[in-house]
Amino acid sequence: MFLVSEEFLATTHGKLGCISCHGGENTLDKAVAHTEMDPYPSDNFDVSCGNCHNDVTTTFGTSIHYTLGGISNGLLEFTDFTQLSDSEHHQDVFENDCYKCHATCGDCHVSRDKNYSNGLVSQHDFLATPSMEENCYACHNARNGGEFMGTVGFSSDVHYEKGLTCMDCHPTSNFHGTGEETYTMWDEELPSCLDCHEEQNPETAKDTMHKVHGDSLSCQVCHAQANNNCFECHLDEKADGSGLGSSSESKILFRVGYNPEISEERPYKYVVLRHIPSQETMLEVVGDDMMPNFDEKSNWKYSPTHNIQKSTFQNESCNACHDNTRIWLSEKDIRETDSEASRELIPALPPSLDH
Amino acid sequence: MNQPIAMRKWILGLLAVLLVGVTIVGFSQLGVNPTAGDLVPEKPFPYNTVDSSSCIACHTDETVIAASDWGKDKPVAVNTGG
Repeated sequence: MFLVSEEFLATTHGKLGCISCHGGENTLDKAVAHTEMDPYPSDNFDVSCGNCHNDVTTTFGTSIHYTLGGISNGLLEFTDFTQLSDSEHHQDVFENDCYKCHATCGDCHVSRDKNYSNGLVSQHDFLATPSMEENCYACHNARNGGEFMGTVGFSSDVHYEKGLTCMDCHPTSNFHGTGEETYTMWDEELPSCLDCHEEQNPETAKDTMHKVHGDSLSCQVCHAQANNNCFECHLDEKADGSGLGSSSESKILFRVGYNPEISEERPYKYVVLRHIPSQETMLEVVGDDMMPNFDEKSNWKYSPTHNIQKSTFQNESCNACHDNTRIWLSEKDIRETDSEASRELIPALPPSLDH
Repeated sequence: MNQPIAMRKWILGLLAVLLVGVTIVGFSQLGVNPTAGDLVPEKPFPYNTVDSSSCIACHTDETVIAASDWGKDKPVAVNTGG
């Protein structure tokens, strides 16, 4: 698991000597050698990696992969605080559960994530471009990563089948940050389908479907498959006493509703939705009434589902979508544990073509 | 073939071989061949290093690492919920 290759030792990082980054003692006595040894030196990336790579480490502290700002702010919106640290309980939940998934340099360039399977990806080689299978998938396996690679839901993404990886679409700033902290991932410079498929721009497209639907549908409404949805998340003490852990029921579904996040970049009226793991009592192990604003935020969120196919069941024909009530978010999908705001995303059905 | 012509061809051949030889040696001395002697000295490693020979002795030994329990309690490919 922590075997180091001779090839690595001949590289610049290898020549520095293990102790340069990890600390410890240069002795064959195992216990002494590992005294104050740091297995994850990039947790303090400013001091370790920053010595040579400060062009990256100066912005990395603002990266959403490091801050998990989308999760902390999502949690904050269910409360009536202005920042999580205003509440010892909420800060504790974030740090002891959510924040365990944040990444540092080593989690992407050297080893697998601690919460996945740990260990080195390739005998301590530093991968300039992280491995999608070993690094990205380590954290993003239950939703976008798993859907992209076809381990969750139905078929894999056509882009994956053609050999593309996460890094082919996502710019480096999505991982390394820009120096400005973002509130959620939607504030990042994200890839757009039109970056490559410019000819499908509804304003200039030649084919009828793209022209007719214009900006009223996100690309995923026609081209994504079902996605993984988590319900009734519940936080509890782990059986081994190592802290908090969360669990929830999950279901593969395809639901289209009103866009809860309309913006200049994503002006669509209808989008694919995904249910996020949440319920009003999810934090009751920590305290009562932990989510006073629960009903003001929807539990269904905009989903940029990553399992794109050119042909899907809903784009097979006009009626496969327009008359297919099973794909539209409806009252039946709203659970007792869902917030009132979720109902606002239930769309009026699209015009039937049977006339 | 008369003798002067044969002699001239032999001398020209010898000159051609010498020319090729001198060219190869010349280029290698100019550094085209990176293994060509002391003209391209190895640069010193520009960073501070710490002797970690004991760490390396164990962490490059497959049997030592295989015998370690560290991290074996970690699940492989667990669903992280992400």
